[in-house]
Amino acid sequence: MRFQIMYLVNNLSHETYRIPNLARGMSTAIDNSDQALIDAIKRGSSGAFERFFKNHYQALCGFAATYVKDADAAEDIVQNTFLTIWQKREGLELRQSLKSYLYTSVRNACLNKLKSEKIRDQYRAENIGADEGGESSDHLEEMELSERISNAITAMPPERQKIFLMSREEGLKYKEIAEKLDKSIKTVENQMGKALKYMRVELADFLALVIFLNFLLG
Amino acid sequence: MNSEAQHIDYDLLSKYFDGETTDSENKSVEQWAATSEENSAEFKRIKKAHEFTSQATLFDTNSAWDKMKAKMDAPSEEQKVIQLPSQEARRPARLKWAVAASVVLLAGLFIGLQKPWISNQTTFAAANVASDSLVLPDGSFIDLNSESSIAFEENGLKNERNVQLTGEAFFSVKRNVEKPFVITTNHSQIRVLGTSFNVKAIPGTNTDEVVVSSGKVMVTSSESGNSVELVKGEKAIVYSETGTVVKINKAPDKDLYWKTKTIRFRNTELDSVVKILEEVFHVSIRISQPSAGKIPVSSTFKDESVEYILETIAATGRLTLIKTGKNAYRIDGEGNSTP
Repeated sequence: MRFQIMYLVNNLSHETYRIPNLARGMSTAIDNSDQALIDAIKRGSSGAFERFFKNHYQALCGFAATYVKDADAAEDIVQNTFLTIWQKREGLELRQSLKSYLYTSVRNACLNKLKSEKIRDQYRAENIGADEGGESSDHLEEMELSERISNAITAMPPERQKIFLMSREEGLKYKEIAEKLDKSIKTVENQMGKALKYMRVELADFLALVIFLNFLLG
Repeated sequence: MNSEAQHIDYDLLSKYFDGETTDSENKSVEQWAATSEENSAEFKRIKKAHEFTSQATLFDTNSAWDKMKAKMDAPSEEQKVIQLPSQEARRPARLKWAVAASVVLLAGLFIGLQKPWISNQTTFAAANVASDSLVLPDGSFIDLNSESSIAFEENGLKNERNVQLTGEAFFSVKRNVEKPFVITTNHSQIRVLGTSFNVKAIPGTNTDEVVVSSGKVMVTSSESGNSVELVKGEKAIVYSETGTVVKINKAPDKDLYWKTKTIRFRNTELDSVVKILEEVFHVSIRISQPSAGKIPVSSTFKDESVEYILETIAATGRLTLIKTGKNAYRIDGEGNSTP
């Protein structure tokens, strides 16, 4: 499970284990701009809600897909979560930022979606009671990881992005990608290598954290 | 292999993690990873980077938003008949909804049912921002103007798409060539396949008006059976007494004002501007000096109050706006058409 380590971090003390620059610019507290956004949504501003939706949709779907392992189901969950927020906007009272509320809601919906008790129990066992936190637990690392991956994908040069997604999304072999795009296999290898390097750099602080914890946990 | 970061062969590592390497390539990767502590750690990090992005997907945010938008506008419960409560005509078309859960109601029945909804009015007023349109089971949107209602049978949309309209509504009909969408009013029948258009059928008036925003619409008089076909930008007026259907090539902005909240003047004389504003905003405006009525006005107003519009026009034409009553204005001054 990809977020196993991350959950452990949540359950330990943040102060002790968080790599310092990991949370830069991130907060689960409500700041002024967040309050303004909440107010606008409560007033029924669909423009504000649209920006809010578009800012987070890609990352949230990626986040949800890590639980439900299915892109369509992930999209459904994310859309329903946004819809519920919209429908209940008038009663929206948050003790945390709208973003962390959003991620918590999506995660809970994902866990509900894993209907079979067996799957859920197995998941819980693997993640050491991580989903019991409810609204109060924050998911800084997961949120940021999803956002980083999402930003990294969208920021790739078009050709590389296309090749990368054909491999990751469609599960095609390099040879198949080369044939489909009428490119040499060397080009595909090269673009995939660059994409991997790019991800290595973009996710550097997460990777450091994971290795650090692996070391701690033996 | 050198352990310095810039010498890492990412092309090879990517192939390795994607399971596309040969035996000898595997060996060379594993050898490199085993060379030093640092290489080993770096190998693990790159492996993680691969793992974290192994299911990377690009989601279509814009089309997801379009879907969301449709759901956001939909009423949250099954609602079959919608009646807008009456309200002051001071600001036109501020949409408020009252909703009845009854399955079928004919237009005439609404009068008897007005009262219970009055108590609901505040509730709906609070929610009015998002509730300015409804989505029918077939995916069509309807925006209702105030004091208007739409009725349809519960399963009336499955075989044929028939609705009854009293008052004014803007329709965005989901295209379905098999099942035409038919709107029946007191005086006319409007038949479409998939398009958007406005229907104004105010009870107690002798005319129905249809304005088309997109697509093609067929308007038929119930009295005479006469019909016209309308395309984008065109308008039809159905006269109930004679059964005449008149087609107008260019529908004025004011016809869709309640929906678009936009009103445009292009070299329009102030006399005409005032007439349009009176009609749209239900106010009365008097121009004290006849010469001022000839001043041309060119401006676009979006979602502005009538007072703001009049003040802007007055300031541009060197006129004075005086508010003479709650919904009454007077424009003084000779005016100067060169701003």
